[in-house]
Amino acid sequence: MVAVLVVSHSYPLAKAVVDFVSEMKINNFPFQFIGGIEDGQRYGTDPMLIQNKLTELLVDNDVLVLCDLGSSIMNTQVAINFLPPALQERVAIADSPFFEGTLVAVTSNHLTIDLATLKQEVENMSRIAKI
Amino acid sequence: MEQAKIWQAITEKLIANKELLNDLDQAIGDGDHGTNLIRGFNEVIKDPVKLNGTWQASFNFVAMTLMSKVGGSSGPLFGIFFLNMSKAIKTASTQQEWLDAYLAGIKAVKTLGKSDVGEGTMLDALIPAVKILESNLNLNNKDLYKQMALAAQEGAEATITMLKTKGRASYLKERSVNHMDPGAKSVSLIFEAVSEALQ
Repeated sequence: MVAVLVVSHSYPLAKAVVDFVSEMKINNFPFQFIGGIEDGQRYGTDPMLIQNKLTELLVDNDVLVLCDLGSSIMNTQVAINFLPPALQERVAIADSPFFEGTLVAVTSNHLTIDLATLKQEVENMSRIAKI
Repeated sequence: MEQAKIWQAITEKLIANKELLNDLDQAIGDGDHGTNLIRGFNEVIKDPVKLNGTWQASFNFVAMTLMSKVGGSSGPLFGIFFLNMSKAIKTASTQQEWLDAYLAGIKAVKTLGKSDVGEGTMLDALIPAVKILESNLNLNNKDLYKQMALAAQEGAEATITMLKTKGRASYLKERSVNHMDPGAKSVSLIFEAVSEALQ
């Protein structure tokens, strides 16, 4: 089981994606989000908040991170670089569309899947044609 | 000169140009570059004690503060720049050390932003300014930073004609041309502030 962390510039966007996608969540794994800065009052991302959340999730699970765009990706990369080297390998950022990627991360996650496989699934499955 | 005075001068310069930076960002981004950067620097200058230790400590404090407070992409990019300057600056006693620090900062920005010169970013102002230092290692700070500020300004102006391929501006494709990159402009304002503080 892999923990899934959603990182967005916007608190309402992050919360809405997690709430909506949670309807499809069957297995029990940590599924959390960080949105905005200054307690979600402003748009943006903060590497220290991301680092703290990763540290907390990494106690029990590897972590796959889904980011919206731009600085959420950069700040997640910065946060990962601030972690001790042994923990860095246990976090990955999915290169995927934000919403579809989060949906696949939740539906593909199961008891025996590992981080690399889940990341691969997310990156492939989130790009399937809709029409 | 005390570091806190330099950071103060930079902050004041950015504040004086807040609307310009926001307007530049409005044209090709989300319109808050000035506001965001100033929020970060205002937090920086609240703590002159932390700024007035070594340059190493000063850069480290500025980096961590900008990363947490800015929010937009300029937070991690300026943050990683100053963080890597901090790691490389050592005693800050020779121009060679300053050059090494600037180059370390530029390298980190290139890696994090996956970008290089010619893409209409802060690097287009930063790299020409640092090239001036690279070829004038014996020049006094007063004249050196005057030239660096000029080079950064020319670099920022050169971004006007560039097709922006990084950040939100890249979503505009050819509509990003004919606009100055706000990140390049803020780099040029920072060098301008340092130069003026040294005169």
